Amino acid sequence: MRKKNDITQDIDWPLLVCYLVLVTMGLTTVYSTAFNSEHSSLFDMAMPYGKQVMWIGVSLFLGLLVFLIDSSIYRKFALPIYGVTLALLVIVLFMPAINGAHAWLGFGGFGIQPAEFAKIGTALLLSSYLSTVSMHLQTMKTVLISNTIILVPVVLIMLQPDAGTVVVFTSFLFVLYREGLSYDPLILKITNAFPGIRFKQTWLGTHFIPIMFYVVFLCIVTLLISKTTFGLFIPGLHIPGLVGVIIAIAALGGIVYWLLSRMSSKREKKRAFIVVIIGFLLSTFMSLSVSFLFNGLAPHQKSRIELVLGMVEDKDGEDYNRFRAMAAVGSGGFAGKGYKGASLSSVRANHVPESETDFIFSPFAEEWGFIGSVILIAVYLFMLFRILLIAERQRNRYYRIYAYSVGMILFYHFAINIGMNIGFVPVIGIPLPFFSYGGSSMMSFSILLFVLLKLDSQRRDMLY
Amino acid sequence: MKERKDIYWRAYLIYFGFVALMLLVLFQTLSLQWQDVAKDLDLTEENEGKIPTRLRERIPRRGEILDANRTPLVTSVPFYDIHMDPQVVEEKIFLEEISNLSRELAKMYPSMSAGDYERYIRRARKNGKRYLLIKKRVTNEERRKLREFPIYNLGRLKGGLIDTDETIIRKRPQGELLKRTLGFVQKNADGTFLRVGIEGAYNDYLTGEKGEEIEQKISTGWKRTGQIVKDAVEGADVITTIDKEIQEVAHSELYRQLQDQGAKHGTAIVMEVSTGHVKAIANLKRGRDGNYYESYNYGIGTKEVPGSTFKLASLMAALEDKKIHMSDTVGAYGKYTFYDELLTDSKTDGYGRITIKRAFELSSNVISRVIYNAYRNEPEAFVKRLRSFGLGDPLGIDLEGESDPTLYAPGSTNWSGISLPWMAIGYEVQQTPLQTLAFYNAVANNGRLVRPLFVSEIRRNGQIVKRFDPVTLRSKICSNSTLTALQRALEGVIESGTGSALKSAYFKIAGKTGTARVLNSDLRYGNKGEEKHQASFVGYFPAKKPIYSCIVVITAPNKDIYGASVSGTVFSAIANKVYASTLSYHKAINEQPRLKGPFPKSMSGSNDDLQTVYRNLQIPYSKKIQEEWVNTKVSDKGILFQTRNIARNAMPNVMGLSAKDAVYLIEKSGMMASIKGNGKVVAQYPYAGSSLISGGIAQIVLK
Repeated sequence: MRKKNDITQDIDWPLLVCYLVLVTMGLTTVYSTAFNSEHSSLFDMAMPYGKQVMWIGVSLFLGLLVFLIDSSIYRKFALPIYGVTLALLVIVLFMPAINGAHAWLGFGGFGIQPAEFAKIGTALLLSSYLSTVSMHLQTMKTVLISNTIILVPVVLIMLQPDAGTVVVFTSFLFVLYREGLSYDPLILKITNAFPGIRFKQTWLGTHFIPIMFYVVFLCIVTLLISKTTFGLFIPGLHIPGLVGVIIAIAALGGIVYWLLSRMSSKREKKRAFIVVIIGFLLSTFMSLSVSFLFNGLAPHQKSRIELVLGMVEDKDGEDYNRFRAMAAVGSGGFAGKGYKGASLSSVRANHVPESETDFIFSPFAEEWGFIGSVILIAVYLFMLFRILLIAERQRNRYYRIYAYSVGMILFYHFAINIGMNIGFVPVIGIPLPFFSYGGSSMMSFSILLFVLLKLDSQRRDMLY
Repeated sequence: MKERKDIYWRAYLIYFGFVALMLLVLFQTLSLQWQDVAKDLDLTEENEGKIPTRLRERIPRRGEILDANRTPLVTSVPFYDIHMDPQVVEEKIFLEEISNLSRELAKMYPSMSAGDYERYIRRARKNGKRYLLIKKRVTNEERRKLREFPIYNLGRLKGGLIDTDETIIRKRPQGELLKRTLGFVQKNADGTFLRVGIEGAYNDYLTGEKGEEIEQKISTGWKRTGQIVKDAVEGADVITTIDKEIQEVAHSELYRQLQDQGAKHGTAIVMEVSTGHVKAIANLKRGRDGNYYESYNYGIGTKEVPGSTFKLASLMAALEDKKIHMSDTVGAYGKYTFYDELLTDSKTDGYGRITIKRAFELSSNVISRVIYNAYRNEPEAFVKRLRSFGLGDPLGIDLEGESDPTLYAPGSTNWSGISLPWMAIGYEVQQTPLQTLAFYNAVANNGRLVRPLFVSEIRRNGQIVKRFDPVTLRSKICSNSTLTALQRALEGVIESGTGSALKSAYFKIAGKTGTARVLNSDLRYGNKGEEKHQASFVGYFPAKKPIYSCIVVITAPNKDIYGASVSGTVFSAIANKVYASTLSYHKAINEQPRLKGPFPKSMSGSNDDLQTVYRNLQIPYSKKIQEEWVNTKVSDKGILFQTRNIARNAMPNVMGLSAKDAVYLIEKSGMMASIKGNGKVVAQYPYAGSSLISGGIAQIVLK
């Protein structure tokens, strides 16, 4: 018989261990990066690592509190929690701007960023809402309400403004997609307005979110590389960027067809082939037209887009941080420079500003090299897979949706942050979960994860 | 179950996305090792620990423009942007003092409460901000106070106060006064500079030299560090010859008359006779709103026919060439015909037969006849003579925009039969008011023509950088006899001529009126009743010992046209006020020469006391003697102190001392003093040197 009061029961230990490993790696990196021989104690509160130790302690304490509360509470109080985080988002707009954004809510000497906590509130309410309407995922009402739950904090965060967190919130859309939310109610309103057309379901509506992301991604990639040429390892060969984009689309189509054909019957295979071909043609057409339209823009509009996408390399201006971080990552080599060996990205050398927060990957990669990077990425990948696995094993829809939300948020943070450090993504300033120095992110990610662990530990309760 | 399969399919897609992205990340991490990202970046060892920097120009403070008495006419007022680097403050001090600092800040700038300030600074400290804006545009006074605040009093390195960001704003404390002559410097679209007035002429001195300061890279741009690589050289101060008091009088008197007359524009210039120092130059033009503004420098920029004021030059030429005497008589009958052109006097029936001096005093146009008769066969001699007075050349002043005078040569296309007589009375020639004034100034200055000066010195930090000494253009433009004759004639204008209304009871003015018809904007003289006139008055004062020369020109007066009544009144108002108010006429008592006797006698007495008294009275005295008691003696050079022998252990010599000193000495010797009379001691008993009687009475008589 299961003991009701043992809170350690049914904890997913691999995930918890993974969390502790990442937190430890993060702390050691903060210590090495910000190390000051005059304040060498790890617990020196004047230094970032001392404060980070405190934040980790607070986070673990909050984790304990999370575990003491019965999981049903989170579901019952999803709406109030969401309401409180929204209220904080409103209040923070009236705070004085710091670095140009109204993002910090001060309590005496400390400050928190409500946007970090809004993720938790949104994840809880979205899970709670979608789990109640499981049978009605195709209705207009569901589409509108679920999107509104995401949109309200997004608008408030845009007002701060905090572009990075806004981008992170789009991860919830994938959760909607995974749960099978269809945008057909909206799409059909448009298509069926034409006389003679009476669709019941559209492919676009069903896969609206990945298609939308694919379109945006394709447009950005086209814009970014259409002007460049590359050699593809063959000397003397200069393939125009646009041709490269089309080759990449074709390759992607091939992979998708291969994946589809493996899971399909013969008849479905034929249909999949047609879908892939149409997709390829549409993508190519879109890519060409985006490139064409962009070249037709007025110069000032062009330069604005170029600026937003970071297409203009301004190594001493906008891209200052990014290029320095890239140089630091590259300088690490295969095996790295050793612990406390970062000569470019440590706070002492100060070539890479913000190297203890948003750019913490760069000192880590500099000190531990490619091997270290592989390990770090492996740990993160393991964590993400573990979360998805946890998600998929839930019988309760509510738990599953929440688990997916956590997984997607972490994935987004991870991808964008590392992408920033290795020069893929323009600098939008979001932390590396469990790793970067900073109280708000450490606390919010920990709560997010501990709630998941708690929910998962009670997954069997549903059977009784 | 199709639904189920479809959902799995979606999950796989997400897994696929994860893996794809991770692989991409690994690929890029690896490829970064081969890309030489660092090659363009400044990541050298020496640069380690440093944030990129660049040099920034430090614009020095622009110099001031002062009047002759060092009253500022144009100043640069510095304002400071105050920033703070909260990171450098020690934790302990920060925690102890932050609320005190915030309270002080809120007291000084109440737009934020003390709590707001505290939160603001604390948060900046926490977020690693190193360049936190505290307040923009504070005055130097406020900056000084800020430096006293808690934390800030620790200085820049420990208190984090960054208060070196200076903005300089040019201010003209006297408003419209002298605005055009003070001028400005303006950058044109093509990169050249428009240099107007004193600001323009002495721009290089005023600007100083730029310095350089290091700026540091921060995420939002660049911040100043306060590390100065090259000090800026401050702009030098330009000390003008302008006397603000006189300028004010000239400005306000001209303004009033222009307004009374509804005139178009006018100018008034006051110059110091011996040096050419321009003491005041007012230029006023009617604006659209009916008020008058310093918008164009007519005094130096506009040449116009001078009219009757030029008769002085004509007569000077004829006198110098010995063609005439002032006592020669001429028939001034009011109408003078040259070829088919007619000149008339303002009194149409003329003045009868009068001397040339009288004709000048009455400003009769018979002067044209006089000159015509004298030079009809050799007009070039007349023009040559005029040129020898400097009338054909510009004065070459430092300010830009001086017009060259017009003086036609006989035989040139502009010369006609009537040129000579017309020129004699100030037509067919053109001069700026300043040029006319300089000529009259030469007459007042015993024939020495000096260049008008606007600036006397340029000083940097109190040290003279450049001195502008008076420039003599021509040391003697005519003989003394001619000068005397013309000076008498100019005095006569005021005594009994056209300027008799300007007579002053306190001092004599010498001068000449002029009324000229000037061209309209359509370059015509205008029909009867529509003519435009230019009324001028130029002269100097006091007539016998001239100190200032002055010209007043008013163009297009509406009520009256005559030089005496329109411009002369402004002239006499300026002269009266200058005479009444400027110190140079009334030497202050303490400016009496010190070194001249006779010096006051004094009693002999205590060396210290006497020295104090003489020192404070600024009477020279000999200082060598160290003795306690001295005799004094009056000499030519001052007071001589002589050693005084005071017998010890015997009756002291108190002769010539004051009662106080005498009693002191007697009682010090152990005797008692009995005093009679007052003044200095003239008699004493017992005599000096006799033996002392302890407790006995010494009698002294003072007178």
